[in-house]
Amino acid sequence: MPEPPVPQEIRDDDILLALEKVPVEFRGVVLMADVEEFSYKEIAEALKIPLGTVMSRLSRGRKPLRKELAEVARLYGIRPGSEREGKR
Amino acid sequence: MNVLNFDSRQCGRVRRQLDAYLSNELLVETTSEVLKHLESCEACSNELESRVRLREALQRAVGRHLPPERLREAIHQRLRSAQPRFLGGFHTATWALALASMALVVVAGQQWLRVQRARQLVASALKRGVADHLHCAIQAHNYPEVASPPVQLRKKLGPQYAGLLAVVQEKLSGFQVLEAHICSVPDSKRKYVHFIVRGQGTILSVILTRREGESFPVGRFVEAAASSGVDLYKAKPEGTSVAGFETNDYFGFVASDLGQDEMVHLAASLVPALRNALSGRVGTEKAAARAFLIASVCGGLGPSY
Repeated sequence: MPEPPVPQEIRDDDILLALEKVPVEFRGVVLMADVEEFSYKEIAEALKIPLGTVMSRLSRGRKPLRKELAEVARLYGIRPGSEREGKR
Repeated sequence: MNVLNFDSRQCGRVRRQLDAYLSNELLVETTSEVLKHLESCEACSNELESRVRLREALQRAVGRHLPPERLREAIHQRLRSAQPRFLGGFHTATWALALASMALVVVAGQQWLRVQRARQLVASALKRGVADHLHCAIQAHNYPEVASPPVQLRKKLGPQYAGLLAVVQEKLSGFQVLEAHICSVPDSKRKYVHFIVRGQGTILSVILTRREGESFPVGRFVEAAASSGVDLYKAKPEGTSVAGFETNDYFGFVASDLGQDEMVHLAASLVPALRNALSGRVGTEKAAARAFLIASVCGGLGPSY
């Protein structure tokens, strides 16, 4: 099954709450890549970990973040996604 | 369009690569495969948009709620605590300190990476403009002594860029456009839209080249001059003054042996009009709104020359 889409309207609080639930070792890598926009290679060098570990941590950090936000959307009754997504 | 293929193997493979695609971490061939799939799969395109929204929201939220001053303060506290490890055994209760601790690596440990990258980006981008100016205009002397007729120059530029000729001529008061064409420098496939003009006793180049995922970094690391609502970057490599700027899809350069301030002044007068002319062209060039979104998100993955 595809992952639930991230809601159209995302509040800062939603993001921060969702971020808090991401394990810290994954959270840091996600922030370095998606906020600080460091390359995977730079992250690997900075943290002194293999490139594969960076990618693994990114995957394991981003996925729960999306899941948490989809759950927030469901709780608030926000209809996730666009009309096109509704056609699925 | 097949909206039922979202769970196909191909969709699954593409979705596993979407984040790397957004981070510009895929090989060129893989990027092409992803783009090709996105063009024909609405479900995956929606998934891409969803991830773009998340990334933008993440940047916005962290930026608003963890301003740099607070981040730095938290980092200094962290440094004073002389905690050798920041990952293992790290059990802070607040998200802010967690963010700061993780950012310790970024700001305190690897800050030089950003500075270095910013400087390299600016220098390498500006050198491209200078290289084309020196190679094409100065060394190869690829311009006539008497200005070519505008109709001939427009033909050389082609329909994509013919409209820019009038902009350059109008905005560079006191200069005459001698030549305009598409060119390149040795050992590079990069194409340059090159206007060679004469004035103030010298030859000056106005050059545009498509950004290929690169961008001038924003921040204090570069020498920038805010003018006409745009940042202008200046340098003087190889004795040539150059002022650089960027539009949505292009780097632009004004280069000559005049002073750097003069280059900045001329670039400032050119940029708004060039941006308008280019944005109009780009708007018609890209057929699909989704393709435009993808290109803008990925920093210039537009059609190549």
